[in-house]
Amino acid sequence: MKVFKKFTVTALTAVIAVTASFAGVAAAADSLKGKITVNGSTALLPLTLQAAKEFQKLHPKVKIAASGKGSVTGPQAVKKGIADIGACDWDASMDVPGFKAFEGQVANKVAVIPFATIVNKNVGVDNLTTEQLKGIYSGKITNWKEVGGSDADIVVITRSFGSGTRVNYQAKALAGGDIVKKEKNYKETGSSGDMKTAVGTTPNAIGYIDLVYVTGGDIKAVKYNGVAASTDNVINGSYKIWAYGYYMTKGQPTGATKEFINYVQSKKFQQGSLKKLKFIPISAMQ
Amino acid sequence: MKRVNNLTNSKWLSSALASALLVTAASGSVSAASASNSGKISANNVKPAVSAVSKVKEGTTAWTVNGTQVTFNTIDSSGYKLYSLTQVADVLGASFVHGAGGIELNDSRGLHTIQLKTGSKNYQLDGSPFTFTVAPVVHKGKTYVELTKLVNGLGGELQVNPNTILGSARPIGEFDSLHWNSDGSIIANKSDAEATQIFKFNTDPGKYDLFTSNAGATDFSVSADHRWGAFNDETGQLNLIDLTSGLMKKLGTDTTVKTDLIWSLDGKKIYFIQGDKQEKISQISVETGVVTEVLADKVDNKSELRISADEKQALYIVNVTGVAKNDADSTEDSLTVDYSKAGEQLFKLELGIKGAKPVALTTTPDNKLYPEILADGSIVFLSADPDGTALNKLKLVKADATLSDIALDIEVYWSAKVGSGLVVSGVALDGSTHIYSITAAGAKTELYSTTKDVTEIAVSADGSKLAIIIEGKILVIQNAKAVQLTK
Repeated sequence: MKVFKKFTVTALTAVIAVTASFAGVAAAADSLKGKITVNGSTALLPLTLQAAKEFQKLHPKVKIAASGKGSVTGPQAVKKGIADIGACDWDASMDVPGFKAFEGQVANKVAVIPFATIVNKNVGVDNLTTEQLKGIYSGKITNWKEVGGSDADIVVITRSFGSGTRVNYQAKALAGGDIVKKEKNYKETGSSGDMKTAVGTTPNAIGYIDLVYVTGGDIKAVKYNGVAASTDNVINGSYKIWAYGYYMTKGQPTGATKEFINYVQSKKFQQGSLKKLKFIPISAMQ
Repeated sequence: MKRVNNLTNSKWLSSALASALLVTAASGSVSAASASNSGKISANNVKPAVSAVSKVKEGTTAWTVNGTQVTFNTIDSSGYKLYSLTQVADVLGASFVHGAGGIELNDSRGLHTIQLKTGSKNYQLDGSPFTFTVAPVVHKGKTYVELTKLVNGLGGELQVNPNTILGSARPIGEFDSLHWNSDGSIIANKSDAEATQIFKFNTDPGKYDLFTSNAGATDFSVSADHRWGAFNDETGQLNLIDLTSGLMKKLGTDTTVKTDLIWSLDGKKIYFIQGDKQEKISQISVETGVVTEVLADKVDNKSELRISADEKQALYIVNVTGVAKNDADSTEDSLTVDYSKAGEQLFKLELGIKGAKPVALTTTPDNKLYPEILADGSIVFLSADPDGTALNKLKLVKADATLSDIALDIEVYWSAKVGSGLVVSGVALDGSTHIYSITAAGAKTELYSTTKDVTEIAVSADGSKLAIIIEGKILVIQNAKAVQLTK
């Protein structure tokens, strides 16, 4: 039964002796082209690069160049006109503690990012309350024995000013409480990877990080008000330390930028690669 | 964006189309009847449902049902051709019973029920009311009904010119993630479904089953013998799925982020990019589940991993990021971003040489896709110009690092290694899509061409068939015929 007569079919007389699996997406004739630049959140960078790889298979002539330097640099780069998309862990079109709204920018939700409080593996505490965390990060609680642990100074590790993880952690985990710089037992890191390394290599350290980074034996996540940091608990509403990740654009996105954002927001990407990179689809929270 | 072409020129009839067809045949008499519950219409139980007995024409019509020629008895009723219910039901494997309330038919899968009464245009399909154009009638003790509504109601599909019936209708919708398994079936994801539905298709239209509803298995990497698929779920856990039975099992306990799963040729190992930032290459033993590090060079953003057939070489892309700089206070004024070196670059690693370092194969700013290692150790990849001024090309990097183009009469949009050569897909100047096989020596054979856009391609395990997706529909190309498996 030949359904479509327009097709020209050449007999497949044994295509080739197949010795390897072969299947894949094939872009069709495609006129979309151009360069998309993305800067901002280091947490969102793996997601951006994975999406870029898949998007380019659909649109081979679109170049996507990405960089990560912390969330605030996303909308800053868009404002300065040096990036088309600003990857940011908060809605930068609105005021948040420490940062004014970026006027004229549009926030495009792309992912849900859970965050976790982490400690060095030598720390015996497995649960911290909001008040205890506020005490630790404000400098009022300095010893693990004050929160049920052993007698050891707490080493506070935080992300640098401008980090989206920091903005969200302050807003959600610390309920708006301050992170007070200290002379000793205090360190700031510039990226999620550096945070993981710092907490993992510093005995008695505490920090916070995107949940995706909580792997390996040197760090462990602690419960927040008795609730474990997990994607299930984010989705069921019992775990509160999470945020949407956004692609900020100057006005409504257009052209290749719009198509790329549409792809990142598509069911295929959200339910596929995004989940396998351990982000949560935006639809799970709506 | 892709061209959008109208694919709705199928001759297959939907249930909404009129089904009764005019007939020319010998004459006879028509009467309505109730029936016995014996499975056969009993002349003794015939009761007049219509008062008038009129002259009708008897006849026969030939159809191909599930590939077999069948001749159905027909009658002409009120200018429409009606078909023997018994014959049609038998040939479709449907069961039917007769009672005082009418006739009830059930399809062979137990999915659909039709309840009808002779002499009445009203009938029930799966509990919902519908209407015949012409009421079923009894003629010489046998019930005759409209063919299309009967076939569609029983879950089948009907085509005219030539007259063809499928006992099970092809599924409707959009599909993606095509794969072949070792027994010659096609596995594909129904991409427009609310919940995950992954189907397994026989290459005969209308023969398909739900393969799995596991959302993680929407796409997977297929072993060289097409018996197993591998995928990791949202926890990072690797899973294997038997591509014939659909049974799954976990592989190992590692839950780190994994992308680009690639089976070794012998099916004993799966290589993958590992880490939150795709910074490592590792492999897992399929037998033991033990993960072994292959490369940890602290270079992030690896992807598109390929392993040579002899497992002596790895090929991958590093997505080089731009460099953003600012001051300690993250001031806007201080922010600069340099994208001049951002983009994909190919790297090769000699796995057979202990301590070998990755070697950069490219430095150019073009987009690089579909890298492959050929049997002679040379590298092929698709090069796309982001400025849009040059056509996409296949580039060849020989063992001595010399770079050349592979000349083709199409703009290439997709390429994959198959056996010792390549299968490529691209678009000619007239806009038509062509799929070629290319041998290692450069000989080109056209496998298929179409005026439509082909968005996915998969080659069967024995290399004799192609499965492709055009506008979300699955087609199989075999024996010089294109057969559409979905609609």
